[in-house]
Amino acid sequence: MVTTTSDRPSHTYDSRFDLSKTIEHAAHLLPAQGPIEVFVHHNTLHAFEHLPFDRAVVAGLKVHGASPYLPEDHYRRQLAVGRIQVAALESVLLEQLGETADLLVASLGTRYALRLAMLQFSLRTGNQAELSWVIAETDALRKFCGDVPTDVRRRTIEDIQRWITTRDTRPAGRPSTDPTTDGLTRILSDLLPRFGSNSSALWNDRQWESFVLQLLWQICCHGVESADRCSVRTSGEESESEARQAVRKEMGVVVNNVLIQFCSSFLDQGFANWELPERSRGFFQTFLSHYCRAYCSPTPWLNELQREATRIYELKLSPMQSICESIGLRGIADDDREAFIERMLLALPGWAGMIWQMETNAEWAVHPAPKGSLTEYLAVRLIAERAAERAFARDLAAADAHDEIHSEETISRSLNGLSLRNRQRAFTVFQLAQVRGWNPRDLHHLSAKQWAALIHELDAFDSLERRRVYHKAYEKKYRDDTLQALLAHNRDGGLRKNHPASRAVFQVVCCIDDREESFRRHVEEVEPRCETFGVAGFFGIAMYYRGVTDAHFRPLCPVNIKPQHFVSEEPVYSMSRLSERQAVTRRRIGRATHQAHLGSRTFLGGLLTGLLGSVAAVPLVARILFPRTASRIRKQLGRIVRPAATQLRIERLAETPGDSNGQLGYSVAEMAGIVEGGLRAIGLSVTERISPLVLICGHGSGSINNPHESAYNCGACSGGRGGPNARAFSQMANDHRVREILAERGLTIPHDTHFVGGYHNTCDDSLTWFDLDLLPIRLRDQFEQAQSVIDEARARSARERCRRFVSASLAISPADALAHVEGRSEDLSQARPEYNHATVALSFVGRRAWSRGLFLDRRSFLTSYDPTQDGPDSHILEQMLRAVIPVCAGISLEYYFSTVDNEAYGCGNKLPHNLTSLLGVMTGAASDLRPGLAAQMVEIHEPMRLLFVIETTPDTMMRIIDDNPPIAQLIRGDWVQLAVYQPDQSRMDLYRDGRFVPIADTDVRLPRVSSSEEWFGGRREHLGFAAIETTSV
Amino acid sequence: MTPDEFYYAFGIGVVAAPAVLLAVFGLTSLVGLPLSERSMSKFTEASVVIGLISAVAILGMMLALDDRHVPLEIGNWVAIPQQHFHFHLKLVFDRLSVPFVILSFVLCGTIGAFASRYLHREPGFYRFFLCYAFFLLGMVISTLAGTIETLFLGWELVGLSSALLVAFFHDRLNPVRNGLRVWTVYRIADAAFLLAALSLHNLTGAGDFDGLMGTGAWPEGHATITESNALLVGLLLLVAAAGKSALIPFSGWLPRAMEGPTPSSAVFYGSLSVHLGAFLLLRVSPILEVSVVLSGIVVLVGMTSAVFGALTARVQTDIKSALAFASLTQVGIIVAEIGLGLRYIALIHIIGHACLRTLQLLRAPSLLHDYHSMENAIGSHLPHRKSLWERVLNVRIRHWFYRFALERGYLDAVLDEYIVRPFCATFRWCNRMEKKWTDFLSRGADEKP
Repeated sequence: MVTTTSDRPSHTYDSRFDLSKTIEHAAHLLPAQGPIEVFVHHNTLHAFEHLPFDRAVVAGLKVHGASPYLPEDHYRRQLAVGRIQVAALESVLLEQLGETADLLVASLGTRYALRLAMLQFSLRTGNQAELSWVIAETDALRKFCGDVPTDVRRRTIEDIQRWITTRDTRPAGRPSTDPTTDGLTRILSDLLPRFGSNSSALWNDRQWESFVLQLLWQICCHGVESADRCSVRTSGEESESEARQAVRKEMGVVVNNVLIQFCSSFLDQGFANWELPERSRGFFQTFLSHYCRAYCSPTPWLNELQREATRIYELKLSPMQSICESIGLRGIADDDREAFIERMLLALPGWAGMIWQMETNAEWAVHPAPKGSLTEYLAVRLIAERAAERAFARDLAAADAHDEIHSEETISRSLNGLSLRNRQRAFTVFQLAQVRGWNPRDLHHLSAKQWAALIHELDAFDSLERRRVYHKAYEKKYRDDTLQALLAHNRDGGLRKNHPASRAVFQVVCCIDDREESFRRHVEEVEPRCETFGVAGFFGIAMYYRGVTDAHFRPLCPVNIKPQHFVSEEPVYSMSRLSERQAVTRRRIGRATHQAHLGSRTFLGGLLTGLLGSVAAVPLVARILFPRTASRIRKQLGRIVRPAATQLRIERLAETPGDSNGQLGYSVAEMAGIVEGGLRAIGLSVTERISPLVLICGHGSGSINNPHESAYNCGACSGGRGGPNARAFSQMANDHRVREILAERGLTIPHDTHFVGGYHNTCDDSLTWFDLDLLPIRLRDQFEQAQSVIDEARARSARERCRRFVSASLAISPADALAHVEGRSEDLSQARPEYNHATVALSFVGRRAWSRGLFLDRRSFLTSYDPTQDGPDSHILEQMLRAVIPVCAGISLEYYFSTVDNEAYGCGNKLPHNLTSLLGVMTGAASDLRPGLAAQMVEIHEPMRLLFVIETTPDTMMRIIDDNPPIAQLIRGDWVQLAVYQPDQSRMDLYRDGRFVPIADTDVRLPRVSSSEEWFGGRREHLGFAAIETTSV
Repeated sequence: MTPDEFYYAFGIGVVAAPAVLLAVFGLTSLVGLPLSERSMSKFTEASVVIGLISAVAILGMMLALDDRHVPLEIGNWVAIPQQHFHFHLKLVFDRLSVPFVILSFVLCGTIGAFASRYLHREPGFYRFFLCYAFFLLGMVISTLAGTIETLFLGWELVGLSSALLVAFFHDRLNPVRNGLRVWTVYRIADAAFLLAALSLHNLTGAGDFDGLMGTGAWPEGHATITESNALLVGLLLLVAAAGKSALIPFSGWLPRAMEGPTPSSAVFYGSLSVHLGAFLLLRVSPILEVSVVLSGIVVLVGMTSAVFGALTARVQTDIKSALAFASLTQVGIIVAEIGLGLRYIALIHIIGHACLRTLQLLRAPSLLHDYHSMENAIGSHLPHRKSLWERVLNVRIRHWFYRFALERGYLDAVLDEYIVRPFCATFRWCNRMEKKWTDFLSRGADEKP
């Protein structure tokens, strides 16, 4: 970097270095979701993660125009049903205002009281038409709002009554020249005749009420107006006229259409039969060479584009030069360049983001984009914008002419009465005055300055600020409930009670995923003598895996890890012949399917398939009307061509790992390391505690007709399915050589212990076990018992899930529930195969003993960690949190943002989605790419920042935060909430503004139920905590 | 009961089932008692099952009794003797309408079952099923129509519901825009249809297809009008069919219609309403026979559309547009078959194509999944073989074709630029003139300050 270029105030914009940096900087604002087949949950506002949460969401509002919190009326509804409590609002407000809470506003009350009133009562507002309608057509000026307490209402009316009847005697000491009194007289002289001025004594209550309100409304209007006169007027921004905006919009549409079409062709991963010719020349050159062709431009717009493309093509400008030229031609000032480039890239954020991802992060894809594609895209976008400007110059001129005609009308409209802004303000004051019981006369005596102060105060507490307070109160309620529930649950020795007295009959190790919470809870309920654990679902095995019928290796580990090891599944040795024949058949079927797939869309192939197409009616009808049966038949057929018995190639023979045949797998020492790490992490490292049967369950989710399928899979396996990891872990832990090494290191696995790997499909709640042939015969009985426990548990868990699906009856039996969820996973028409992480709100890290028997409503990640087995430096915890905090936070924040603004942050409604370029979904026929989560995935989610409860001491946690910048960024920036818990001492500390504050036990009593089903039965809504009695050991 | 009475009962059943469904959906909302999702899907199911059973029963009786042409009169609704006009509802069951009506019931029924789960909890659930009921009734009426007016009635119902469903997500800009575009094209088609109907009345004195096609049952009828008359009416009907079936030059709307929820796209633009134009041509196929020129034009329009569709489908990168153009290809071929007089083949082709395309469109979101399973089966990335075009044509021409296909033949752009824009400009000019004129007139009376 040459300092001279950046330091001098440049007039010519030729410092390319800066430009590419600017583009790269702007690129970070783009959505970071790659191809949809590897959907990885991450913080949607990753670009602003260095800011505190509250500021970041406002930055998101500025950059993406996306709402930072839920809509205000949503919070108000929550307030009405008690999900937000007034007490919480009060405490959040007090905390936020601090010293300034007692500030007096225009002698009407304190700032705190004013703000609380604005939060507590629903103040209506709206645009011009809405407001006029409310004032003219509703009872707004006839009856006090419903929120006003009766005594306040009576007091106000009586006061005015007294005053009106005695108004002739002017209060002494007030000079008659007082302009306010004149104003009042005028209002009264306007108002009184309408009510029959002479007979005010005869007015009934209704008339009085109406009179008071009309008086109040007039006074508010006058007051706001007077305030407006005395405040410094800011000249209104020169905004574009409507007609001009319409033309601009149209321009945006044509430019976007060309770019959408071209981007999707350029990025296509092999869907279109014809590839974009010469795509290897890069985005810019290919675009120019396509659009500079003659005889291709029948409209003025395409014509302009062709002219511009030809000119640049012939000048042989590089993309950078072209960008500089475009910026110059457009006359963008130096200071605005960055903002301009951001705006241009954010015009189609989805496509631009995908180009950036394909260029930087998708070397594994079939057609990654070459480096610099985003810059080239920007260059093309600027060219297209310019061409559109020219092509639409005629229409813009016409629009201006049109405006001259209409401008007269607009002016006359705005002069008539108050401006919209002031009308809204007046209406707010009007409503506040009612609920706060402000006397109209007092209001009238306010000076213009006081009015200005009042209005300033109201404006300062705008909708954004109000929503922030609501949101904090919304989170506070759930946080308080959770922390108190934990304290209450362990008050009478829950921890001791839940500690196993002897060896558990079997142990289940699941992923930390919130969807496994109900499964684990039900297993514990059905068999109280068992134990369950949670660990990140790749079980410490970071590998590239290829199944027996898979074409490629795919990574099964968190995204931030690059695996070194390759593992593949093979048919068992004795069946390898048969398996080869099956592979040949599969290949033939695959080729034929591919041909049919392509052929049905061509001319001749289509003719043939069209004539024979009536056959398609059979699968069509069968799969829609009888999804479960149809899928069984398909699975039976599929079984013919897939090997019946397989094994994992897990032990490596060669020195170094790799993907060729001899290099697959792990060395024994590596295996020992993995097993030791896994067992120690979950605190299963004491010989006496390891039960004879340890079941390791990976998880994933199978659904059909769902482009977002991989978003439902295991987050710790980068959107893959964790079954193979569980299988590999069990195989390693069963290896006697591994056990010998472990014994040397002080971790003795009992001889009679056997590990079994399994795969839990969270969509249809099925469980598949691997390598059962290797199970020792003496354990068969125990395994079968465990299996029946698990079958019962997954049926109950399915029933618990069904309470969330409106299409399932609340009275459904566990067996029917299982059938229901199976049907869902096989149903082509099911837009909600499962609810995935929706409702997730908590993440517990610590011993299961203190959360066991507590009903968590599938809302908590559960990571097992035993501080008593960790060293004094808490190394295990630190290792664990490095993965757990960012991963859980990423999931919860993606859900947060997709929920608060589903259109801007999420991908909107799933129903019109259209898969494009094999990369992502568009909405409808042609639109921007839509990253994020669909409305159907988040509809029951309560957007809150994830609350971590970690079993450790405040000091240890502080140390970990200090030593790990990624964790510190999330916690210090309030992207997650954090509490540390020491159940032995019943001590809970909440992290707040850089330190831990002790939380007092408020002596809450938890509801006690005999089983989960008793608590959730018959209810669909979010449920509170309850203690389940049967699950203690 | 005599066979005729059975025919009558079942015939009424076929039409009444969707009509009652529409009445139930419409009336309950009119009186402010919206039905629950569950009861709406139950009603739909019942209606489709009754309709389907009746249709199959008629088919069975026709086969058993060897009837090939069963007309049913449902009364004269409007009669203006002075003008020699009567509007009577007449249904015809023959070899064309019976398979078509069964197809409609099967596909609509399947889609109804699909949509009742797919649109679960959707705010527009009710609206969708109301449009669906309109569509089903429209399809049944137009397939069974025995007079051209009856056909027009069904045709309009189908058009209205289709356009409304394209604009189903009316809180977004694109669906509304595209819905409007579809509606506009439909109106042009409707206008041509009406003109054709009027000319037919003029020529034959009635709108009955019997009168027009002679006495033979479909497809053996022979038209009784002269060649030049046939050409005129036939061309108008071809415009109507081209609008409805998205043939050239109206093809631009077909991919745009993919804005609605997947099931409606599948059943309407993938399978049923896109074939309605072809059905119309089949219905009036005796006219085509009369005029060789007309047949030639039909074949030409069909083949051009088919080639255009095949070409354009090859460059589409999104699944729904690709399927839309693939549909267009087949519809074009079907129309060409009709022009060539291959009526049974065309009918079989329509049925096969409709079933296949519906399935493909419903499964569209599975595309990635399908690609993965194909890759896994083959054991490598999918082979991308260079097609004949890519091997034979030189680069320049290939570029040109690619661009042509990518821009979808410039059809929409050209229509917008050279038809819509002058049209709008003319009326804007009229508006301005009127304003000036009224200003001029009112200035004397109401002088502004």
